[in-house]
Amino acid sequence: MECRKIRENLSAYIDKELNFLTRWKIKRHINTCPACKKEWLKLKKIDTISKMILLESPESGFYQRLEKKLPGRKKINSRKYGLSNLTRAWTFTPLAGKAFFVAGVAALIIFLSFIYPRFLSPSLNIDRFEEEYLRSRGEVISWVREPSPIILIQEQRG
Amino acid sequence: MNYGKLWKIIIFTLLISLSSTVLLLADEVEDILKYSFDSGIRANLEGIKESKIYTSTQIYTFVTREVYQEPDFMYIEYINPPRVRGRILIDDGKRRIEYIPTTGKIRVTPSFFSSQIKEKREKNLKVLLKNFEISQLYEEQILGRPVYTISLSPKGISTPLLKIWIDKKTYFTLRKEKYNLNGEPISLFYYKKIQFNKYFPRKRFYQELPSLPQNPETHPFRTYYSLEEIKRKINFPLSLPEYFPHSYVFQEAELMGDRKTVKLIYTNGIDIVVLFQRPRIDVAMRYHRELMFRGMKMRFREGIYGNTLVWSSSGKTFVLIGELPLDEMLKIARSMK
Repeated sequence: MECRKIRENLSAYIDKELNFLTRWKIKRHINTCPACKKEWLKLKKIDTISKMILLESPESGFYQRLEKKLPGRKKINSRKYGLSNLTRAWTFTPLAGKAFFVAGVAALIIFLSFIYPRFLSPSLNIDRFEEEYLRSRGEVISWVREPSPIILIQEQRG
Repeated sequence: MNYGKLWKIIIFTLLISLSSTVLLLADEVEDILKYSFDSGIRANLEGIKESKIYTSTQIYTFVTREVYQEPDFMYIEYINPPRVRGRILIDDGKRRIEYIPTTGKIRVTPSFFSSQIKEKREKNLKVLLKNFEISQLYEEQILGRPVYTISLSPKGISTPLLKIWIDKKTYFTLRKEKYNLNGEPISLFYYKKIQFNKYFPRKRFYQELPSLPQNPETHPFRTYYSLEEIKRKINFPLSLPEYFPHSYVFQEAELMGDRKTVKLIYTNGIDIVVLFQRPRIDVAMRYHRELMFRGMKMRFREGIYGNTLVWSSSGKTFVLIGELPLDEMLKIARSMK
């Protein structure tokens, strides 16, 4: 790999965003090319420093001050009201989101009540209808003491 | 003496006596049929019965050992074919027990002799008497016993659909032959051996069964509805056929276990045709052929005891089962409103 291409990928190499083969090629190159190794060490130092900065926690009272500065935001004390996480999530959901949720639930109810049973319900076996037919036949026609309807159904299946 | 007048009187008297004899005979035939139709048993007997069922491709033969005891006991044991051997049906007037040895399954249903089913048969007999010409044929003997031979033909058609041989002494049916309108046999049964006046203690037959489970699968009495009643029981519009083959009348409606499927039963007194309908559902079916009829995809198959036609339209699924030819079934399907 050329030095130019190696340097282009150094940042991604440090962030572990490259595939195994590319990483292996870069690593091999760094070990043999002092200029690229210098560039890699420089970038790695910057990365370490930036991570240290981000990991540092804000000074005390930062979030309170931030909250005061945010407009139209009501403070809710969840402990005081005993609200669950779900209720809190519902409270903070914007109106459009709530409307979308209600519409979704309504659509689900309609689907389960009307569409599913009518078009997608599980199938019935024809044997069940034929068994019903034979049962009625046995009850209605008196002198037909013929082989039992149930047995005939099973005979037919066989 | 005026001979002309005398002849007139003689002829008139002869005509009166002849017509009254015919009327008496007609009454007698109906009575024989009524007695035979009645679900009660007036004999104690044991017999070996052979039943044959004809389809377009096959003849099914069943051999059973049957015991009937007055007034309401019957025991049927399957002997042949081997696949059904050992199956038992016992009806003691209170409940009907069916036992299948291969599965060990026992099914308990209301008795054939129960008042509800008896009432159903009486209604059916009225339809039969209305729809069929009943005639008594020649004198005959079956297994050495004198029998009434009765033929039933649809009114206006000479082809008999049913012939039955009824024992003169006990009104027990000893033979039955059933035909379609083309005169082809549909089914028949006859006794190969029969012994009357044979008494058995009933307990003996229960020994043939394995011990009944604590909670056998019991089917309670169904509730039967009129068309108006069933319409109020369901939450979808009921479709009714405008056409039905001649002589078939609506008998009753039932609501199946899922409370969504309606079962409409039509009868001509000899046969029944059942029309099921429910909100659209897929009906799993094998060994059928598909056909297109007036833009509707239909499935049809021939069964041992009747043909089955399945189709869906207007958000509903229909299943029609009965001993009717396909063209008649299609006419019914077409007339659904």
